[in-house]
Amino acid sequence: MGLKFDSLKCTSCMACELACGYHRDEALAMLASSIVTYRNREKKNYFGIMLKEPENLVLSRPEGWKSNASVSWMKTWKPTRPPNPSCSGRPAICVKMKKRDLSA
Amino acid sequence: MEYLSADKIAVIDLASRKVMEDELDEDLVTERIGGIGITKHLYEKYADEDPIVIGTGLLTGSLFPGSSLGILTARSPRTNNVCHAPFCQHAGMEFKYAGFDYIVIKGVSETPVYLWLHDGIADIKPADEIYDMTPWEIVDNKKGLRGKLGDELIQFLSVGKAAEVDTNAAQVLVNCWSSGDRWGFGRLFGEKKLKTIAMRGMGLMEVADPEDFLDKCTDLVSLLTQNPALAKKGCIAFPAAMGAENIVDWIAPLVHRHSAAFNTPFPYNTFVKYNEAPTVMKESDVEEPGVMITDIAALLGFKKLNLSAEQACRMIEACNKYGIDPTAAAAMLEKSGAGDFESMQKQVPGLKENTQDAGTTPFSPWCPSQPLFAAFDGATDAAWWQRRQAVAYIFGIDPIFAIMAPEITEAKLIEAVTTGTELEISADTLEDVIASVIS
Ligand code: SF4
Repeated sequence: MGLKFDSLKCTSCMACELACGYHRDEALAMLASSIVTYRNREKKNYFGIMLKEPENLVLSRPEGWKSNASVSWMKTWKPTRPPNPSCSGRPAICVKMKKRDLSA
Repeated sequence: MEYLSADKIAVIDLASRKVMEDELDEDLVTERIGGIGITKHLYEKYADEDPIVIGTGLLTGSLFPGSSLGILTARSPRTNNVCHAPFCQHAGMEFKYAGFDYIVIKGVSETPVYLWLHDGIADIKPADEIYDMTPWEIVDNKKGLRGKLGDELIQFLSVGKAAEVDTNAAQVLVNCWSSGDRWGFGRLFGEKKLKTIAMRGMGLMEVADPEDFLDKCTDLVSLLTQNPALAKKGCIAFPAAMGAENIVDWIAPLVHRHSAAFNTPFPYNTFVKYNEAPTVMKESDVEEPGVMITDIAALLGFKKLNLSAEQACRMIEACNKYGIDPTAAAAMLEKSGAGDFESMQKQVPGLKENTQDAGTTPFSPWCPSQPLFAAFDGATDAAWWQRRQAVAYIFGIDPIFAIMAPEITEAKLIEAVTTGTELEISADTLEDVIASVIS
């Protein structure tokens, strides 16, 4: 299963984060989610999506996506857990995700 | 209470600095469901001690679409009635994930304090360092509490300087932005010397039948994809939908992006930029590029004073920093013959008003009083609006989304909480709770 992010369509609603956590824990919890909405720059209205992979971090930012990311606000991130095989096959709550490269 | 719940009610006495905790009793939920069904019950229980009760619905923070709502219940200085103010964005869900279903704040602190709700713990902390801060400074990642407490995602219910003066228009803000508090609850925070409530948690809430609950929520999401509201964006689209002036072209040159409250499919918060180009998508060095429009009546109120879009938005920023309800501020300025933009800006820190509203409803007029975008069956009059608000406030659904989404029926809400909790909650129970909160 692949994830497609379109960060310009993202509204920071966190449904994807909640859905990912729910797939993993069968409970309402965002601690286990591999999809995280970053919304640490509230006054600037700068937000997007992060996908945490065991050895990588993909950022879907308003200005374009970035792999192998490392940013200063990592300290507030939740621990990464490996992908859960049961994630495949279930429909995502949000269909808005699509990778976008604005740097080209 | 095992499911869809943090299983905790905290009674926080600011006078004695004591916090008492209790479990959320299943019998209480079976009888009163939740949200304002229970905040009103708790208000009445502690009524002699002038409480502010804060709570969420069973569906708040869940997969159910629109599940963003937190509620403040207290006696409004504006109406002298017990009223409910909604707070959405990401604060309603954060309150619940911080480990609380309800808190009752009673008593008056001798010195300024703030509450720090985290991981099921309610700490009463001295607020000397933040007491003179604006709500914008309180949230600051460096100098404010997000910096001090080491977490940039902390959500806040804050007041500004307006809460310390004699005005019924002081507002409780969500982070930097206006909330649905049109009741002057900011004044109550000020009287209690409570500067802010900081909330953050990594809680986990169990669901009685997770598979069925998920199916019910995803079915509803599929239905909602047909809703005409989803083709619109931002609260700036509301006036035209309500048959009033279309302001989209007026404000469009400033619009940056729209954002949604937690798990709410319609992004009604509109961020405007005027200190940098609205087209800038990259994070820049401009710390405060603009303001979030969360209350369309405030924007319309300032537009009516012949301000440009930028000036109107700057007025909202000034009101947010002072902690005054911008809709009330615009009305005060109109009444006093406001003058030009510069003069209006200067007047904001001194604005005061203590007039009383008639108070015909306990629900905040922050939510437009008619359906938006989508058609509902039957009459959509004041009684319809009041019932729709009551239902949203009981279950924890965003009240604005509730008037856009006829797909969210009372039957579906009851089914969702029944599946989620395994409690017997019937249409008759809902009828009783609605009657008790509307009375
Ligand atoms: S990617 Fe979609 S579901 Fe996730 S926060 Fe953005 S809008 Fe919401």
